[in-house]
Amino acid sequence: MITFEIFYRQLGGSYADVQSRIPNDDLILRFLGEFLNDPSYQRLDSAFAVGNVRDAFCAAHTLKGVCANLGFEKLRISAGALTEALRSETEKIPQSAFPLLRSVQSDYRNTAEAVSLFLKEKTK
Amino acid sequence: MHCNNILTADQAEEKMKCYNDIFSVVRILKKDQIAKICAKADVENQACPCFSFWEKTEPCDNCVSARAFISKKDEAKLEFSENGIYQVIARYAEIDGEPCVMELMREFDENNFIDLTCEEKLLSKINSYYAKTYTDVMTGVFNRRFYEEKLKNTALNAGVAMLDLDDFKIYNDVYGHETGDAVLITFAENLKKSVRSSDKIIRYGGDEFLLIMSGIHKHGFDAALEHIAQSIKGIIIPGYEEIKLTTSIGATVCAGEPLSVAVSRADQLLYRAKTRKNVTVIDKDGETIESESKSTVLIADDNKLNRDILSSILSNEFNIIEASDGKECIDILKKKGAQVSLVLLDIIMPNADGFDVLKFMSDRNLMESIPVITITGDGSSQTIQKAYEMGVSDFIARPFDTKVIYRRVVNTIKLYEKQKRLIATVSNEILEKEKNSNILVNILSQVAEFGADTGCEHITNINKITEWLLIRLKEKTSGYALNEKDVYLITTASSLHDIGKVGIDHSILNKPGRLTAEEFEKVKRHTVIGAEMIRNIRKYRNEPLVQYAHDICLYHHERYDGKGYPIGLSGDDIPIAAQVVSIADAYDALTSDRVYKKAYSSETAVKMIIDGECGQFNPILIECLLDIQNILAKDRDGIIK
Repeated sequence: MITFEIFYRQLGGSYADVQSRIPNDDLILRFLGEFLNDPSYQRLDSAFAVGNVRDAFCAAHTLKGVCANLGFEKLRISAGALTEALRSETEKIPQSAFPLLRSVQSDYRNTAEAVSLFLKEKTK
Repeated sequence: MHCNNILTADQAEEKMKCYNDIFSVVRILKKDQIAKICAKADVENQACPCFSFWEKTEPCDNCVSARAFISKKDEAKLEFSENGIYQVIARYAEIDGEPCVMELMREFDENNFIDLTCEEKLLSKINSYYAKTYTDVMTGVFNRRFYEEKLKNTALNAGVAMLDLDDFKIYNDVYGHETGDAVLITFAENLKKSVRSSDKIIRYGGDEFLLIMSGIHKHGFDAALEHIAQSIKGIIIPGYEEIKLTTSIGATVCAGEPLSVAVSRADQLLYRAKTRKNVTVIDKDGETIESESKSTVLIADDNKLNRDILSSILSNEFNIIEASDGKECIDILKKKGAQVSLVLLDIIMPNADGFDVLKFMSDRNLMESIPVITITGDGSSQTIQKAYEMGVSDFIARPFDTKVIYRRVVNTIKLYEKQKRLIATVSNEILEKEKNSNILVNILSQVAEFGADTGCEHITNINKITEWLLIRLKEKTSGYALNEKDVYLITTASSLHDIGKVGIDHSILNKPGRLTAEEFEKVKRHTVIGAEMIRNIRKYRNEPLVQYAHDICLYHHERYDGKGYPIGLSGDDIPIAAQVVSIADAYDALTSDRVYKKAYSSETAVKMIIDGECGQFNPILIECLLDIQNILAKDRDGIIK
């Protein structure tokens, strides 16, 4: 059975840390559910697809913030690195951002899957 | 101790036999028995638990034998039970060297215990002791001691409310302690009138009152609290009519539990009520209800999850409005304005970011009344610095700590609310003082005009016309360097323009026919006399108000063409304050009844002035007069501005 502790450890975070900030488990579960519907990741993908630096920056920045709130450390770090790479006022997406995007994509997939499984367990 | 209380065992026995003739119960209590009684220990195993005789479950607080043992003297008391009234005497003695107490008890004949007059006196004495002990001296309600000694541990079915006077400390500090006392007394009086005679009001703290409404029905309790809150708003403090009282209330129902538990709950609810003031917070069936609409918090963040997290922290206490970008945030602020109590603002948003919102708020002067807490993961010091420079109150970083955010929001809103209330109180004070000084000036000028044929409305008219002319002049030209304060001061000072007339013989002032040349010269001196009176006010000589008053007195009969008096100044050598009052005076004289003529209409008066029939005036002031002639006409027709 996946506990909160195990769940968070998977994602590089700490349940104790999240709990100190959001002291209600039901609330945490609710927000985890909402995370799966959060559009930031899709926006990031779309922005990269059309090459819009500004939108990509905003999306990465928002994703980073969301992860900080929910304690998804691994994804937060990779989203953070991507945000910084996109911060400059360039017209095109810098080359350095692409490998960082791939890290974000990988971390996001892992995180989303872990959240899905965890929620299924908790709502049994 | 009497020496005849040192006894041998035999002597003690002899005494007991004698006592037995008089007293129904006689016994000797030794040291260890008394100690047990005092310690209230081992109650059930006591050899002869005296208190069971009195049908009590524990020893008396003032056990007479214990007292006698300690004091080594005779002690006595009355004891009441269902069976009757008893006198209990405890005599200290040493029997064979061992200290002990002889306890003697006798029943009174209830019918002859006390005669009627003495009974009444006794009752009255007891009542007055009781009243003195348990009454708050200042307000006349029960005091804290009453609660602690008589109510705290009793189980009740009652409505319990804790009331706190809002901003009491401000009244005390701003108006003085006497006023603070008057406020408390009036508040308590009002409370007494608003509740039933069976309800108890306790002064729980300095400005905190506890209300116990025993046996009240839930609906009745709600209605009573509403009535109390409303009636307090209607309180007028004699002598301080500008003080508007409000109260915060925390209320709950005590359902058969000890009162102290319910009071603690009510206190916590009061704490919540005090975050906004003038609010009743009541818990009913586990739910907390607030009687007034909650403060509104605007959350501006383009990410729904973030908005939801913030909303979940705050939605119990506050109304939440959400904006998903800067433009939406600005639209909401345009619509709601200062109804919003606080903005939680993300910086990075599409369609206008947080900085655009801040600029909008700054342009509309909303930053003074609406605090902004920015929330962003973009914690670069540049961003933070810029946000603070634009007037942000506080800065919260991600990840969110729910408790910290809640506290900061509550504290910030409380602070701003308090600030607004302070500003309102200070403004009231200032207005009050201004009003008082205006009253004084008016009285002074009435003194000057008394008996003169100018009519009691003359000063008010001069004030009004002077003010209208000055406002119009300010709009037309900046050549005279007049600001709003100057307008206010000149208008006030205009009341004193004829103050010098007190030095003129009234028979001349009120002469119905034409004045002789000599008489006219005497009347003209009122300008110089008035100026001299004001010059004699050495202490305030440099005050702008005094300088204006001096100039107006001296020069309000000068003419623009130099043919006026007393000096013959011309053009703008004449101080503008005097020029304005001069034209106002001319207009008022024409449009009022005098001994020697009837009032002209407003239109006629203006024409006469333009045609130079009543003196020569600055062309720009003539223009101003024309500009305001509609206002003047309306005023003369009775529609007072």
